[in-house]
Amino acid sequence: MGAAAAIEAAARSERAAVLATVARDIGDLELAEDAFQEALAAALAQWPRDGTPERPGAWLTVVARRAALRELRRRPALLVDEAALEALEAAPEAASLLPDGRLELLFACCHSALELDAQVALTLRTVAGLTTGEIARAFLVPEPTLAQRLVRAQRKLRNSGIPFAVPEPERMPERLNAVLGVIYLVFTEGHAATSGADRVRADLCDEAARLARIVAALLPGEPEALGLAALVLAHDARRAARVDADGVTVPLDEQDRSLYDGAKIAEAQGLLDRALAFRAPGPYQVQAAIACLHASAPTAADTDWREIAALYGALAALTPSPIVELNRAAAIGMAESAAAGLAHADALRARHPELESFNLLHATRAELLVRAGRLDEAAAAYDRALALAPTEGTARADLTRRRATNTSDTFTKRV
Amino acid sequence: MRYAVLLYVDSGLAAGPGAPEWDASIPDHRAFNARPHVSHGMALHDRGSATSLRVRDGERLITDGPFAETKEQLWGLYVVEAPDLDHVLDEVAELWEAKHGTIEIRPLLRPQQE
Repeated sequence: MGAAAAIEAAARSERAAVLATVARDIGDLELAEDAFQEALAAALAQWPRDGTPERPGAWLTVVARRAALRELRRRPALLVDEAALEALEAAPEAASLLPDGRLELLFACCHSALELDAQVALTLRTVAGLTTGEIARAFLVPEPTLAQRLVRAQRKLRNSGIPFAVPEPERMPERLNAVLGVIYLVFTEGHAATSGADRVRADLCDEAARLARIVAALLPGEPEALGLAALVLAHDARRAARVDADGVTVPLDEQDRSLYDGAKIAEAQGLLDRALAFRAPGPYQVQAAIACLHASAPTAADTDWREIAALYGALAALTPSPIVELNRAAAIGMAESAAAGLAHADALRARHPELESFNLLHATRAELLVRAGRLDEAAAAYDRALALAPTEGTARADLTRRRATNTSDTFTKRV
Repeated sequence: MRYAVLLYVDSGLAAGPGAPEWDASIPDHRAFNARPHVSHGMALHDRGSATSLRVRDGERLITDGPFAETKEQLWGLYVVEAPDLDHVLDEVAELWEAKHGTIEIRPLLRPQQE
């Protein structure tokens, strides 16, 4: 590999680790980024002449750290902690090389002292290595707005002394939850792809999978971290089947299961098995179990709906939510009978009158009514769902199509 | 690093001995103030005692009350020396105001030396 190619490769693959290590050392992510750019420039000057170093990441880390310390020296005394700076300058450089600080970086980026939007942007920029432009497009905000958000977040990190550290064991559950929450949000944004340039948003699924894999690898003793990785991968395994050639969403029972990614399903199942061995269930593990059951079932009808209904029951106990209960109603509708599912949905409706204005309630009831053979009521439920569905995205087109297919005479005959 | 720890409570609360909420918060503050890395502890009279001043074009504008009418009032503060934000958060989480009001943590600009 030539020097230029080596630098380009290192800039991509070593960026997060170098940033993490330098930022952890000096407590300043913004400065670490500038220093990394400086180190790349130095590489451009030196590598072609002296050859590519044996460990490019280590080389970049040492050079970036020196650049960061030089910059700190130039700053006004008011902003610099002299004693800490002297300690950094005296510290042996080799100490900053092991082990890489990606986990510490992730905990800093996902600190609740930052706004959630900022946590997400910062994680994607620094840990996942997306560009500002890519993140801006994925979240449908103007690039200058996102750049501003990143700078503000980096300054907050530095000025308020948010630590680049793995939290103490007693704070781990709360802090890990924040990290997993950010990754989950990246994933649901990509997965939903309700608006905007779908291509970029689908990339968010890749990033969520990458981040989830990193966390699972770095924290192999945390079952929910493993569970989230399993969840993201099991969902992602079905990506190719979820949208047809025209970009229209294909519902679960109509998906071509030969398009599912078997390797990803196996990886998800393996992660889930490892998580479950800890016997400490949590919401991500339960959702992963549901996703794995769906992904590995030969057909929609041949799915273990009884188990899925039970898992939704467990999920509702862990994180009570009307959406979980609606999914549970649909699963009961498959596991027992459409009437049983409807009974569950209607009981939920009675308990939560606010759900009347929620399109998913009516969409779920519509599907159950179709299967109960009550087609007129189903058509009415589809209409209510349609009236309440968001105007952007494909939800309306999907509902219209389901209504037409499911409440027509041909469908009745097929059933 | 050094942090200002600002204690905010409901603006209706009275400060000083005899006021029930103020009395309730005292044991926490006695213990907190005794810690070696905690300094500049001050309790303020309640907002009714506040006077605000502005000088514009050489003219003094003096008004009764705090500068901003908010639902919460500042009624005390500390300076805490800590290695990072997490340490401060852990420490002040035990204070009465964390449970009954809001604690704002602001890093001081000059880190160590005076």
